[in-house]
Amino acid sequence: MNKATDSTTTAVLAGVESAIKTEAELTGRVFDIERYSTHDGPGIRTTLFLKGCYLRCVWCHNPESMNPRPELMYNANNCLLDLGCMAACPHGALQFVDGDGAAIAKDRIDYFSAHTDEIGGRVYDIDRCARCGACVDVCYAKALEIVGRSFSVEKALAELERDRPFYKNGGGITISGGEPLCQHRFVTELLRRCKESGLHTALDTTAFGQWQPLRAAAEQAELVLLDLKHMDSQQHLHWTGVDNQPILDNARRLAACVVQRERSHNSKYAQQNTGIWVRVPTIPTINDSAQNMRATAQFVREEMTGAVKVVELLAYHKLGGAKTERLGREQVLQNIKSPSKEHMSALKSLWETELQGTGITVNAR
Amino acid sequence: MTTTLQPSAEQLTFADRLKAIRAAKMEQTRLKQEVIGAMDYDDWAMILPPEEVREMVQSISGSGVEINDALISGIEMQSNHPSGGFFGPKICGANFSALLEAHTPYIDPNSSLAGGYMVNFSSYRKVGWNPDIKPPQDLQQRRKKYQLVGGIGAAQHFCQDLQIGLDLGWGGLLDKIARYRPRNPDRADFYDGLEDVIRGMQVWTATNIAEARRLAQSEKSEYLRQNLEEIAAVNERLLIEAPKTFREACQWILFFDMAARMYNGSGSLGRLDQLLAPYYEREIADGTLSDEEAIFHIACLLVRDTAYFQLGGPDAEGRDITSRVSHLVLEASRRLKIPVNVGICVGDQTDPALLRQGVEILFENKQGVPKFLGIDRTIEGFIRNDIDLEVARTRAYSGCHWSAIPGREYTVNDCVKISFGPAFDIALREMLADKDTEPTMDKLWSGFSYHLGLAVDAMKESLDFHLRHMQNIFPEMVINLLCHGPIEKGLDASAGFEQGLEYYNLCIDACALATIADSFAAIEQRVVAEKRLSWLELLDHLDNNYSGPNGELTRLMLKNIERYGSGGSRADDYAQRISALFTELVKKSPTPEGFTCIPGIFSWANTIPLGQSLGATPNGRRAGEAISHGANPDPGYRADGAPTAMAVAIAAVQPGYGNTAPVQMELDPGHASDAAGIDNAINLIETHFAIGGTQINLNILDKEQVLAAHKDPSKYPDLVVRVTGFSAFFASLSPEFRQLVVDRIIADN
Repeated sequence: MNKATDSTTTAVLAGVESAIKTEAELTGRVFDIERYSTHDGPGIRTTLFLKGCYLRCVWCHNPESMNPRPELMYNANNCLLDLGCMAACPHGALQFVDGDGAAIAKDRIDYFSAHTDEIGGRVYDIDRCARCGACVDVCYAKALEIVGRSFSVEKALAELERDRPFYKNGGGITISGGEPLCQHRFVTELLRRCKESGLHTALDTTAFGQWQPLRAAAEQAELVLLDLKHMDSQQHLHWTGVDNQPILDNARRLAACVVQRERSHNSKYAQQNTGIWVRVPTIPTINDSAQNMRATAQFVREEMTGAVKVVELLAYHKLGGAKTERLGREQVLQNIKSPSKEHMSALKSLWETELQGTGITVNAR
Repeated sequence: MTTTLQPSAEQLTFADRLKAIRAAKMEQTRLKQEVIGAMDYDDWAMILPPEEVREMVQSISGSGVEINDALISGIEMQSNHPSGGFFGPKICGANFSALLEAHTPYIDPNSSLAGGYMVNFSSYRKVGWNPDIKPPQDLQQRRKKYQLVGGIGAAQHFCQDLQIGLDLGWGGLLDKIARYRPRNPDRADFYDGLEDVIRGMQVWTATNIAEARRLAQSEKSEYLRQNLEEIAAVNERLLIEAPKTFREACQWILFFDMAARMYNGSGSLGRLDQLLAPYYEREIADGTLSDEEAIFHIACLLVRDTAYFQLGGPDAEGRDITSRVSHLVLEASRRLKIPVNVGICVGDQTDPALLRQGVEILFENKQGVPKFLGIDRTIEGFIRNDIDLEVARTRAYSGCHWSAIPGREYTVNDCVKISFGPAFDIALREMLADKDTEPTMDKLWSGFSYHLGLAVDAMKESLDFHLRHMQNIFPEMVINLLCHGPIEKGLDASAGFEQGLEYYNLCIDACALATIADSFAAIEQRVVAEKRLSWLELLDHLDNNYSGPNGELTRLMLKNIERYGSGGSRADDYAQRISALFTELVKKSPTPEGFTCIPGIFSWANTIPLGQSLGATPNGRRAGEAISHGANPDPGYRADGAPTAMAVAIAAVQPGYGNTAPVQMELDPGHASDAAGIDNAINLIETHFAIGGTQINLNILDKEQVLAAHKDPSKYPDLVVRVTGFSAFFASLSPEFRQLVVDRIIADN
């Protein structure tokens, strides 16, 4: 690893981890749980999405996952403008302004909640907000939502257990993010407990971060879903905010571990549902050139030999856009459309050609 | 034996012919939508009578709902009562016979089978129930108080045994009547009625024979002319004889089932693969039938009647009967692409290939066809009613959500509905009206139990009343012919007191499970635990239909709790408790006269009327809005809309006595874009049954398409959705019904 990369990595990690450490050690901060999750590994799965990510991919479809802290999300479409949230906020973080832009005083809430047409807008002071949830608690219209709930390992296990009877054909549980390794102690322990109770475990990771925690978590996962976003390190830095060098280094190490593991447990692990599935988000004009795809495929073929069972090309979609707005952030990819079916199938062919003879399955969706 | 004309290269193929048949069917459907308007029920495959004899009336369907209907005009119905109605076996047989004799023939030169039916006999019955025979006043009051649906006057909704007809034919049935008539000399009226029906069937068949011959004379295509001659020849034999070939069996089943359908709405084929298998095997061995031809005949049968039937499942000894025919029937439904009510058995012993084929068709056609039957769970449950296992295995799927033993069991399935809504509403109001005691959840529950018990008791009394009188009002003059007992004993199938059939297992279904489970949970959380509003404030909001000050906020507060279906919530617990309570109330005793009752949870299309008559409920539902659908959680029960969560929740509320509490599920087509998606759907179905589920209705709906079709249905004439137990053309449904389907699929967002 070169020095520049190392220092970037350390800086990013330090920022995220300091936020996480305020939590009790084995508590995870979860932003979503999806049952009947059929796109994050084989079979029917339950996917636990954890908050916090080292990367800032501009196309991210889960923008609420980036910040490791709880966040307040506001969906204006649901808001009844009854102003109950404003009255409930003990920190003065929520304010509304009238049509002229003047702040509405708390003692005039009743008047304005009855005359919503005179309300000009909502002002949210993120610095004052303690994410205490007092406003969410009275927002019956579900316009406000705290993203990032605390889960103990036990509580997370209980949720992951609910669909156990459906975890056949390789199905099971997936820990995803954000970047799960932002909460690596929680993740490793949760995966260990799941594996111990006989659930098929998958870890969905960007592979950005220090090797030791990744290795510890990956050891508890029968399957690692690993994202490769761009082979050009400048481009990678530009679009995701981090260098790709630590990712590629980790991918090589992970592949080596998997190969070793499968060699020693030949019968149990040499299946498609184990090892590594490489996932390539396919973002038009950003990383979908034949050149980049070919380079990525070559990396998989040459540097991850024997460990990768499946490559999935994931077509970009715009689901993240609405959520970005609800978080009060600006959308970066305004003009990028989802790739066409034809384009995806052409890229699939390209990959299949590159991976010919490796036994790796290529899927596009 | 005449074999069916085989298509050759220069002639029409079976595919060409089926395409033409389907095109005619689509045009008939379009015309029905234009003339009749909204049809919130099964398509029934009925054809409009020709315009010159068409008369429009308001009527009540065989399932007891009000419908616009078309009649063939100019048929005089005799009356034997001052009300103008006609009651009892003899006159019902005679009048139905008159209808059959006057019925316009229908021959499609492309089809291998004759006949199409055009009217409902029920619409000629101006008076549904003999006004001299009234339920006791207090029973009527209780029925009204608890908004009980059905029970009294329920027609059909049990399953005939077609094997009897296939063995005997019309001639054999007449012989059988002649043989038994002398043994029951006081039942002459009954036998007269049955004979009249058979004679009417023979005349109707003959009319179609004449039409086929007439068309043959002017048919330009030599190929189709020969087909028309064959149709005439086949039907001439079937006037008296039992069917001998695969094609004849399909023809006989079709005419019988259309008659049963016309008489009182029955559409129960039972186990079609089992019935057709002997003909198929014989002719395949002879080389006189090909798979393609068999599929074609089956398609010609299914296009003229949307009957309900079962594929696969065990025989009496427990061996799975899935055969090549099962697959061919499924293939016929795939090619037809119209509503077909086929159910596939899924169990430990059933053929996994049949399930896979079914799921593939489901995803390919996206028409909610087929549906899936948890056969092991329903058999296990059914034997808990003291039924022998060998008998239980022969029970066959034959209607929206239900099964019956062909020809041996009278059930009134799907006709009897008790909504949890009124019992809950009355209990809540009684408790809050009592100013001397503090309201609590326990008191509310105990009041609910009390009133639900009274509702169930009133329904049981209603069923006794029905079984006592129905035979003298509107007896089962068509299905009786193919049952074990009626001809032998001279008794109607509904004559429970005289034991017309062997088994009387009367259905009592519950409705509004999610509505009331969520209501209990909302009160427990918001009123009792969090104290965000008082009991009396709650009552005030209900009375004002959430329209008063803070009404909408309160409504949302009550609605946005963790609802039934979210998993491990208060509401999930209440749903299980309510189902267990209802089951106990139904099973604790038979009817006062000793008839067995079986609980199920299914609302069919009653969600709308039962909602219209129910005030606002504490789950945030406004007055008049539809109640929840069957055993389903309300739409929006989880943010991820996870089908597994629904499958787990519904598996946990099964009454468990052989009648079902089905899952009604909508999946996005994206879930099955590849083989893995099919595997996941199969896993979902199998696992739901493994953990206790009994039946799955699955729609694969493209959200955008359904929303577009909701705006302008006429642009999507081919769109078929599984509304509930039945599938229907989306364009045939009323806006209210379309909205229910739309609500289910957009709740995810």
